[in-house]
Amino acid sequence: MSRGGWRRRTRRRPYRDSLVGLALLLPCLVVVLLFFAYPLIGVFVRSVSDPAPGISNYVEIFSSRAFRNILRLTVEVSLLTTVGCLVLGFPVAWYITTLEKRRAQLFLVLSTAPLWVAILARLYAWTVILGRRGLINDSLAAMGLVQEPLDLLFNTRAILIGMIHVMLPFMILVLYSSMSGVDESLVESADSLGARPRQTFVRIYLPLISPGLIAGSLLVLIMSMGFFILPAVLGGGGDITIPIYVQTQIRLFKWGIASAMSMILLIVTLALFALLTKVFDPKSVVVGGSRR
Amino acid sequence: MSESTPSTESRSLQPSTGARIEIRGVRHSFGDVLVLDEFDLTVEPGEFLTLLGPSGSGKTTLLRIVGGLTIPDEGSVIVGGVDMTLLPARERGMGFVFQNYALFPHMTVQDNVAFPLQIRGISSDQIDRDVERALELVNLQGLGSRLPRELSGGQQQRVSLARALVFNPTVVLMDEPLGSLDKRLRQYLQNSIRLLQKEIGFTAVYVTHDQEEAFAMSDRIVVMHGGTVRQLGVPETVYRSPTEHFVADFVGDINEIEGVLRESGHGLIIEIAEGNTLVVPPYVSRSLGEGDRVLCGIRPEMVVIQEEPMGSPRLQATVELVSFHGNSYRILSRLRDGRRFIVESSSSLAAPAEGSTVWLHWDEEQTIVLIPPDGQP
Repeated sequence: MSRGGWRRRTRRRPYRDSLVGLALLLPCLVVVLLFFAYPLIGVFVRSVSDPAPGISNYVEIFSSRAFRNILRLTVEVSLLTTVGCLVLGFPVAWYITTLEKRRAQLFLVLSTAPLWVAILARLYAWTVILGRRGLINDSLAAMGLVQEPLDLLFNTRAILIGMIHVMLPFMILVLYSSMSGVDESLVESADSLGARPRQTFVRIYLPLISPGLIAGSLLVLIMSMGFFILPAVLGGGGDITIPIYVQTQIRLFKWGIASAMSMILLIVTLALFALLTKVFDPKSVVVGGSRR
Repeated sequence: MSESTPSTESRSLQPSTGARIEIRGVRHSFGDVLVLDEFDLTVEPGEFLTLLGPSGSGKTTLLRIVGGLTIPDEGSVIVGGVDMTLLPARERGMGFVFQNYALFPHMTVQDNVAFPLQIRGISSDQIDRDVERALELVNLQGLGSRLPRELSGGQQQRVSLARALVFNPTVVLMDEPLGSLDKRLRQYLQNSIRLLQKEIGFTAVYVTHDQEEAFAMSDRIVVMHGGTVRQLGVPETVYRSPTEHFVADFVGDINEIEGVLRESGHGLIIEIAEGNTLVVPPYVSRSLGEGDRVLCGIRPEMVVIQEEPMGSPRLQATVELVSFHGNSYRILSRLRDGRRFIVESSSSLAAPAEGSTVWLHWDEEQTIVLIPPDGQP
């Protein structure tokens, strides 16, 4: 009875439902088309038309040795940032899942607290800490450990430190949400079946949280690839990543080269994304516990 | 058994002798809440023992303590003569079946059941044979390549059972394993589990809040409430001779009638409504005397409905509602003093008409006499 009634009602409504769905999507769709798709097409068109039609911009980029260094540095820093965030974020996220709910909330808020501070303020704070007359060098000198100040700032290492610092909260959030979805009884079940903690971790826990590991890594990787302000401040001009290169080209009004470089960054990012999702297929894994 | 048994025969799931479990003085609390208080219990080898109680009675906590998933605040757990109180679950070698099945969602049925064997470093040939046999035992042959989410609830629980049995544990612990299944499937799996347990011979500790399930499956039942044992005994005894009101009420429907002890020529008798008297069971007369109040419990199916006043004891009642339950009628009636009285009679007998006056008669020997706690009638 009730089932038939339910069916009849849903059968009558799909048209209206899809209209409602479209209405809900529309504002977002307009924004995406207007402020993302349209400019993106514009960038592409410029990359093959400015200053002259053709692929001369791409040819110029690929024939320069500097480009290869820029690309390698960008990918290297992004990958190392991702690994660093995984290594540092994993224990923190796991620790938070072991806490009772209210303490877990508090720790989540604390670990994401850096996000509340404007990024520039945080980066200049790092220059204060890492600089030649900064906190670390002054402390080391005062302890007599170093004669000359160390070069901590304005190099790749400084970019990496800052990058990990900025990206870590995102990694922790994503990892935590996937870890907290793991059914505790699965771990207990492995335990009761005789598995040692390491076996449970490798064979049960890691596969269960792998969607989170992949999502967190992709998030950090993609954000790092396109990060401009951080390498600009902490790299000190010596370490040029793709976004910085794009900006300098724009300053020289070389819009064509800048656009082509942007397209290359987009393609490299997408390729890395595809590679990672291919290697670790998130669909082969189910998050959380069993049915119910 | 015989010498002709091929040597390739699986070692797994052979008849084994279950281990004795001794629980001594176990006490456990969560924060300020005491969930187990000075708990003592011995489970005999090969016995099917059920912990029966309402939620919050401490039954699951006790099971987890036996399984090593919870370490008790005080007391000890001795299994097969070995003190296992502080031993982690993985070293106890017990099968544990969870209410939510706890199947590994990223592994096939085959891999789930093989998991405890792989952990033990058994050769893959042997594992294949053992897993196949275990799946056969729970009637799931051919489903090894499925993922848990592709199975029904009942099938998932059978996989979980196969996984808990495949490594030949001497003790299997089950925490409301059938709690989320529908009634028919539950009855079917109750029988399967019980038959398997009898065949293999492991010691089983089973947790449930369903008294019918406890009756159907167990050698003995422990009725728990407030973290203590309220009654321990075979199902028939728990049902027919509950030692206290909580047990009587928890394990089945019961009609309650107040009675007063009176001195008669031959000793004490119980006087209840309408001039009926009942014999006093020996366990009551020891502690009570003339004028003390008792509670008399009568199970609905013990009562015979008569149209004429015959036999003793008997009570006059008006039939209010008759409901048909397939194999029985449940008859809701009201006594002359206004109390409700439920009768269950076989549906092969004619049901009384609603609104008619009847007499309720039962065998006085079957009356459950309970001593009410102080301050209550």
